This record gives sequence, structure tokens and C-alpha cells, in this order.
Amino acid sequence: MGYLEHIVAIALIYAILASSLDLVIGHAGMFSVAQAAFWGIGGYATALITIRGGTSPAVAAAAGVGAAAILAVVISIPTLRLSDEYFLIATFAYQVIVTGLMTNWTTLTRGPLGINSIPPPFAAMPHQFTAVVVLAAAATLALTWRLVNSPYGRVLHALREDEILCRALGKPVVKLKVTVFTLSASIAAVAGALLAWYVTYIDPTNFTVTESILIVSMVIIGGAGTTFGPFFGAVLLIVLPELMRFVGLPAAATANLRQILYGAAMVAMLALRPYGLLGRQRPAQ
Amino acid sequence: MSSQWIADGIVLGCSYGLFAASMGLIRQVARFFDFSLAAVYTIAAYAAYALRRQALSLPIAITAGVLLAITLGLTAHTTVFRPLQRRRATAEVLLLASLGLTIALDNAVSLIWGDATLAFPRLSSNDGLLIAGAHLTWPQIRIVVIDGTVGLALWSVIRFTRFGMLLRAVSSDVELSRVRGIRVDRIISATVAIASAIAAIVAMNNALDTDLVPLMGFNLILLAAVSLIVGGIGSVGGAFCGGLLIAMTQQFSASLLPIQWQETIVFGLLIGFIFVRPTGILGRPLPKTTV
Amino acid sequence: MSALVLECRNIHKQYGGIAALDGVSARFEPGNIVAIIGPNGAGKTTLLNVISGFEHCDSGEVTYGERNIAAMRPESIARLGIARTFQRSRVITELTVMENLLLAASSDQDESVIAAILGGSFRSRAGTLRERTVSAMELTGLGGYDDRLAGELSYGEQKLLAIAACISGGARTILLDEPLGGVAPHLIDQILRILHDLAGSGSAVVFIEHDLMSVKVVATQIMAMHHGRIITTGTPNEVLGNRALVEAFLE
Repeated sequence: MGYLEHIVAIALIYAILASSLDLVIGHAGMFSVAQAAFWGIGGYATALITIRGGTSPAVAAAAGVGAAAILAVVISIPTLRLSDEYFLIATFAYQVIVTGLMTNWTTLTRGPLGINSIPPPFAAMPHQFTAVVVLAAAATLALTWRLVNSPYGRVLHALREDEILCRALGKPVVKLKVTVFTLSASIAAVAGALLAWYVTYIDPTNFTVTESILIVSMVIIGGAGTTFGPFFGAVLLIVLPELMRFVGLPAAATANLRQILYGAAMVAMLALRPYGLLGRQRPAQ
Repeated sequence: MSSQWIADGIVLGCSYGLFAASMGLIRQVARFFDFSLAAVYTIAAYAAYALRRQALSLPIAITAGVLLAITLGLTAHTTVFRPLQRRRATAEVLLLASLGLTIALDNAVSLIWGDATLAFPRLSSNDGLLIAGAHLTWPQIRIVVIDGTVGLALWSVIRFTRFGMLLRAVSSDVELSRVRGIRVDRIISATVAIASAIAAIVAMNNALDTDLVPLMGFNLILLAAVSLIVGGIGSVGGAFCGGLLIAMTQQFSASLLPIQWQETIVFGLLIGFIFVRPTGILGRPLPKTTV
Repeated sequence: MSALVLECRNIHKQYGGIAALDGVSARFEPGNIVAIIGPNGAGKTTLLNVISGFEHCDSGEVTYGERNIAAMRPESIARLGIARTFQRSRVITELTVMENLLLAASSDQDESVIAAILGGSFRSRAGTLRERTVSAMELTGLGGYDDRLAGELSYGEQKLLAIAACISGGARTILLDEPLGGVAPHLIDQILRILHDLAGSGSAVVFIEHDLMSVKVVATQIMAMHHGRIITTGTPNEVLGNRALVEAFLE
């Protein structure tokens, strides 16, 4: 029972991440491999501010969200000027830099040792906490659905298809991209707080560029730009490898197979999805 | 600023530079950053290792590694990237696909050989030469000499041969090339083959020097990509300049900060470069979102 | 919004060594329909791009009313009430006609994240937005096309939609890049009538066109361009009556 609950909680935390990333990838059409960086900022801020600052966990989490949001604004404004390809590369670099800071700024983060004994927001654990995660996931889903089916969603989709036309219609293109990127980062930071509280231990290896790529693959495999796709992708990619355990494979092999699954499935989906990510009209000029 | 660390930097810079040049070739003709070269790199090295373990001679192992690399590179392009390009997939989609492919293949290597560091059956001991106060082992000397020579050969091919001319035509304008009757797909395939072979050469040289781990290709390709962007995509010389710059930056920072900071610093340099100096040292400007 | 006077003075723009615009000055007033004619490469589209902010001139002034718009971004210029179409019609193919027009009519506030979450502002503005889109559809003859996907419209219908989007956005100075290009004859008449009605209601209309016959029907003023300069400008009779000029153009 505890094991199942654990898988569900982890899967839902990833589902929140995938959903938030899909706002950027699927709905706004920008590829980012930096989601784990914002996830990590949320997690580390929550842990550090609670433990070192002595504030309540909720306040620490809010500060984490704030930090992620500010960072998102600061890095997105100059980076959005780049072409999509270099935007992706830049987010890759940001992700590596953030992980590097988490690993090497040992006086702040304890580096590879990580942070343990993270106090949960309220005493009762873990069943009630799984319920919190479920609620958070449901809230994310609801929020995403609402955003996507609003005029805001409509203008994002228009932006995704034809940025030049959007400019000609007077849309504040940069502002729109920055807001979606920041919103996505903020939700990821919430997922960071959830991870910190649920597992009570975090370290830099939770938040690497490989994790970011994994989250991207969840979005793509589940279906970018759909409401439930990222959720489905996250659940699939977390649960499926767990089933392999029952086949009796050694742990290291499971880890490898999991990554093979992510990589191959992502390539397959990119190749097979006949619309959406592929062949989008690039504004010809 | 000892000559030892300059020498070490040159060794690193040559392998970054040549790997960057191979990535640059594919970027020029196929128009995307092909990270699956990292898998080609890793698999070539491991294949050569496996053959050497079977007591086959080094020349045979190396040849096999190169051939396998070419096969793998061409297969990846015909089965994954070309179909994607036919559906007008954008550069970032292709980049992501290449990342996915590398992750899958690198993990296959890890599954077969494990994650432990493996050592190539030694060709020679750690003897070497003392040059200008710096000690370089034979593997390191081989890296500089072979990578440098291959780089020079590549540059000559691009500059002086008919194939090089066709490659440059395809790099500058695909549509015009097609209209002129150039067999673009063939040029791209040939370029992929050359790039894969070069990646294999860099891989095996490095494996003889620093041994094998499944992430060897991935770790190196990140540095090669930075070298390429910093040094300029359109030129072999630029790639080598970029490689040397990145290597020297690593060496320099290693003397100031703990070695773990290197990756962060190199990527910080990349970001700095993308914004402050958007032109590579010897290449075309980075495209912004133009109208 | 009411239309203001759009003016450009002595615009220069070079590409490499070639002058795309070589000292262009023009004045576009409300109620007028100005046709810009000239061979390919004359600088017509470049002029449109400079005015609408998609390109910037090397020197010269562009003003709208009192405001200097030469250095403004396209989105800011659009919000002043200057709208444009493109030679190859741009519509959002995955949205319906109505959604395209709502997109054009919506303001920043309508499309904000807060509005999405709260929903309130959206609902109260819905009436106003709907009025604008419906009237835009009627003016362009797209009444009843509400739920048709823009991607499924015919070439000519997409041209109408592009014009309707300009109207729906509330623009009062409308720049059209070859609105009649490749369009079936009955639609040509429809579009010409739309341009006439727009000017009649006080908008300033500027359009680039190759079809001299159509231009003659509707334009109040013709500007002929060649090699980045304005060769001549005047009423249709003046310009098109000039045999020598017309022949030079057709050669």
C-alpha cells in the first residue's frame, strides 16, 4: 500500500511538472529544457528557508515560487530574442548552470550531500500528504484547462502558429511569452516544494538536465498541447518502469531501461505525431 | 600559467575542436545540432574496446569502430532525421530527437557494459615526451597529432575539393543547390558519414588516453557544442579555435576554483557569448527571431 | 478611434548596396484610398513594412498624427490603429473565423492570465467584442462563416478574413499588400467595394496592387514607385492618362 501510494505521489508530482512545461512547449510553442531547474529552485528554497530561516514551510514554499518566477522573468526576456533553436540551447545552458550551482555552492546547499529532514507543512504524514499531492495535481489540471480555454490560451495558440500575424494584430508578443514562461516556472517550483515535503530529502541529482529532458519527453509522449496528455505521459513514464521491477531485473538495469524507454519513446513520438510539434508553419518572410 | 597546463589545454582543445568540427559539418548541411553524434562517439569507442578484448589488433579495432560509426550515423539520419525533415520538423525538434536518441543509445551501452570505467588494453605505457617543460603521454601526443591532422585534412577537403564545394553550396542554400541539380541528399549522407567517422576517431583517441564510460560522448558533446557556437559554425578553424578557448577556460578556472565548477563556468561562457557577442569567432551570427 | 494622418518623409532604406527606398515621402489621409503601383522590386512592400514597423528605415520620419512611429515595434503601431495585411494572407488556420476575429478584437486585458483565471472581465467584454466581430464579418461578406476553420477557407475567403481582422481590430488606417492578388473576379469586386466602404466611413486605405484596371475603379490617389522612388503621384486620371508612364511600367 505504501509503495503504491509512493508511486502515485511521485507520478503526480511529475504530472504537475509536465503540465506546467506543456504550457510553454505545447501551448506557446517554445521548447525549454530548464524545467528541472525551476523545480529544484522551489525544492531547495522550501528546504533551506524552512530549516535555516525558521519560517513556516508554507512561507518558504511561497518564497521558492517567487524566486523561480523572478529568475524566469530575468532569463526569459533576453533569451526570447533568440531563434527557437538557440532558445532551446540557452535553456539547456541555464539548466546546467543551476544544477552546477546546487552541486558546487556547498555553503548554501550542502552540495552533493543534499538536504535531509525537511519538515513537512503539517504533522500528519504520509497519507494525508499524498492527498495534498493529489489536490495539487487536480488544481494544476484545472488551472491549465482554464488557461487553455480562455482568450489567453487563444492568443498563445495564435502565437504558436504565426508570431508575425500576432504582432500585426497588436499582440504584446514578448510579454505573452514571458508570462507563460514565468507561470510555468512558478508551478514547477510548487512541485519542488511538494517533492521536498514528500520525500523529506533532496539533492542536486533530482534536478539535472537529464530530468528536464525526461519531463520534456513526458510532454511529448503524452501529447503536447492537450489538456490531459502531459499527465498521461508522466504517469506512463513513471509507472511503466516500476512494472519492470516485478520482472526481477537488477536495479541498475531498470534505470537503464527506463532511460531507453524515455529516449526511444520521445524519438518515436516526435517522428509519428503528424501535427502539433512538427511541420508548423514558420513565418515566411 | 605553467606550460604543463597549456599543453594539457591544447590536448583537450584539439579533441573538443575536432568533435565540434564534426558536429559543425552536420549543422551546416542538415541544419540542426545533432547530439546523436555523442552516441556514435561512445559506441565506436566501446566497439573498438570489445574487439580489442577479443585480442584483435588495434588497427582492426579502429577500422571496425570507424565503420560502425558511419553505419550508425547514416542509419540514424535515414530512419529518424530525414523523415522528420521531410515533415518540415524544425531545428529544435530535430535537436530534441537527437537528444532522445543519444539517451536511449547511451543507456543501451550502459546496460551492456555497465557504468564502471573501462580501460582500453594499453598500447603503450604512460611514457611520453617532454616538450618545452610539459610532459605529454603518447596517447596525448597522438590526440594532438591525429586530431590536428584530421582537422587539417577536413579543412582541405572543404576548401579544395569538388565535394567540399558541393558541401558549401548545400550549406549556404539548399533550394538553390537542388535547382542546380546537386544531389543534396547524397551530399548530406556523405557529410554524415564523414562526421561520424571523425567522431569515432576522436572517441578512440580519447579512449586510449582517458578510458571509457557510457557518458563519455555525452559529456564531450556538450563541450563540443559550446566550442562550436563560440568558435563559429561555418568553419573548421573556428571550431578548433572554439575548442581551444573552451579548453583553456577550463584549465584556467581549474587553477582558481575547484574542478567541479568547470561545467558551470563553461556554460556561463556560452550564455555570455550568446548575448554579448552573438557572432561566433569565425562564423555567422546567431539567428534572432527575425521578421 | 478615428483615423489620423499617416505621413512619411524622406524615407531611406538600403539592403547591402541597393537602395530599396530612396527618399520616399507620402501622405495618407482619412477617407482616401491610395493605390501604390509599380514593378516588382520597386520598394512597395518595403515601404509598407517600414510604416507598419516590421522593418526600420535608415533615415527619415514616419508620423501618425503627432506621433513619431518610425522606431516603434509592429505591435505598438498596430495598437495605434494602423493595421496591415500580407501578400500571402496570414490567418490562424487552427482557429475558426469567429475566433480569428475575436483574436483581432481582443485587447491585452481580455487576454491576460488574470482574466483567464477570474473569467469576469472576459464575460463583460464579450458583448462588445462580439459586436465588432459580427460587423467585421458583415462588412467583408463573411456573415455566417462563424464556425468555419480559417484553414479550410478558400484562398479568396482567407483574403477577406485578413481584411476583416483589420476591421475587427478597430484599425482606422489600413494597409493592404496586394489584396487582389490571385483572387477570383467576383471577389475582386467584393474587395474593391469593401475598400470603398472603409474609406467612406472615414478610414484611410492604402493598398499595393498590380491590376491597374481595379486600381482605377476605386483609388482616389495613385502613387507610382520605381527603384525605391516615387515617380509620380496624383489622381487616377492624371497618372494612368500619362501614356508614357504606363508604357514604362508595362515594359
